[in-house]
Amino acid sequence: MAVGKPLRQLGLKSERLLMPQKASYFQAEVENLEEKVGLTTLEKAIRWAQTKSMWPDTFGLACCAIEMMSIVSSRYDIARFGMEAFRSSPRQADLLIVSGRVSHKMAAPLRQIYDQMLEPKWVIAMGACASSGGMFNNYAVLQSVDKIVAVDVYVPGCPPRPEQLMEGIIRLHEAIQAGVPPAYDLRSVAS
Amino acid sequence: MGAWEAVPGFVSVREQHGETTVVVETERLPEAAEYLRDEAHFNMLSDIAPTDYLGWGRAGVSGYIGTPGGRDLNAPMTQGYQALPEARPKRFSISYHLLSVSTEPRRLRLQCWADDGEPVPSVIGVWPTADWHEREAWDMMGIRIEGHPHLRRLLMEDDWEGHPLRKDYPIGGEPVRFSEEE
Repeated sequence: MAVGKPLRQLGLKSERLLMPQKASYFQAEVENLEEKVGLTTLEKAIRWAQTKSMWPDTFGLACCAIEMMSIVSSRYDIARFGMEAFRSSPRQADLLIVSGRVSHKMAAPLRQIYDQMLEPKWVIAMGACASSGGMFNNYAVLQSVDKIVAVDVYVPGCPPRPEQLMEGIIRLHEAIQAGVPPAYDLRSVAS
Repeated sequence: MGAWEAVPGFVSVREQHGETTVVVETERLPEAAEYLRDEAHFNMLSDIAPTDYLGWGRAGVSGYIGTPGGRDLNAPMTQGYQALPEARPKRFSISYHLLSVSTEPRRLRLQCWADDGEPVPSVIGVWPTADWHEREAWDMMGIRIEGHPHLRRLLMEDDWEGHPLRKDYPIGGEPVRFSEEE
């Protein structure tokens, strides 16, 4: 992991990210050397590959799903990032974009789909309802999907514009390339 | 159709806002439904709308809008007229919205009244679409439908307790963090 490196060199454009854990001084030296000489490690290559072709799972629940559909369209075009293949089967998906309000009745199938995904897997909570319950604070709606799955990125909005969702996806890509592990390794809840 | 009195179990009819509402006795509801489907050709049941009138007529509940002195909405610019809603016979009203799909389509509201715990006979033998509507009436309002082959919850989970759309059911939810509720 990087110690004392400017964020730009890690490929991150923002500080608002969980900082990678501090590792040994030796590792920092090796990374400095690699950077200067132009080598790469296997982990970095794997992370690059994970980022460049991350297939989302079709989990559109409500209104946010419309915005998620529109980023596949030509105007916002998530195919630029290799993600236009939305897989219906969770076995073939890397990313679960929870878009829309999750009712308590839907929470069980959501957890089942999440369990069926293979590691490594990431979760984006898209919209206000998936992040916190949104405007629906009542008996029927689960107040935040992070009560049942471990979320990597929260995208606020009601619904978030396609560009906002794309920003969330890009930040996730940057975090992965920087070496941040998936959320189920970091959070102790719902892992 | 002029003579609504021929409907079995007829209680009253009301024409308001261009809509006709026929109120029948709850026990004779299936006969009335069959009569309306066969004789008056109302072959489609659009909707079953149960309504909870708990607390109707008390101050602060729906039906009273405006200044403390009251206001008659049908006569604008009147002050001091208390427009109280008319009393309701029982707690729940179940309205069946019927449509006759034909070259001259007509709509009708068939209504019956029920108390809490009073069973309402099913019209599933007359219009099979009533299946899910009656399950929703049971789930959301707790109106027990007699004669329904599988009356179980539709929208809420199977083991949910309570009937959410009743007037005395709390809205639920969680206290919002960093607010005064916590």
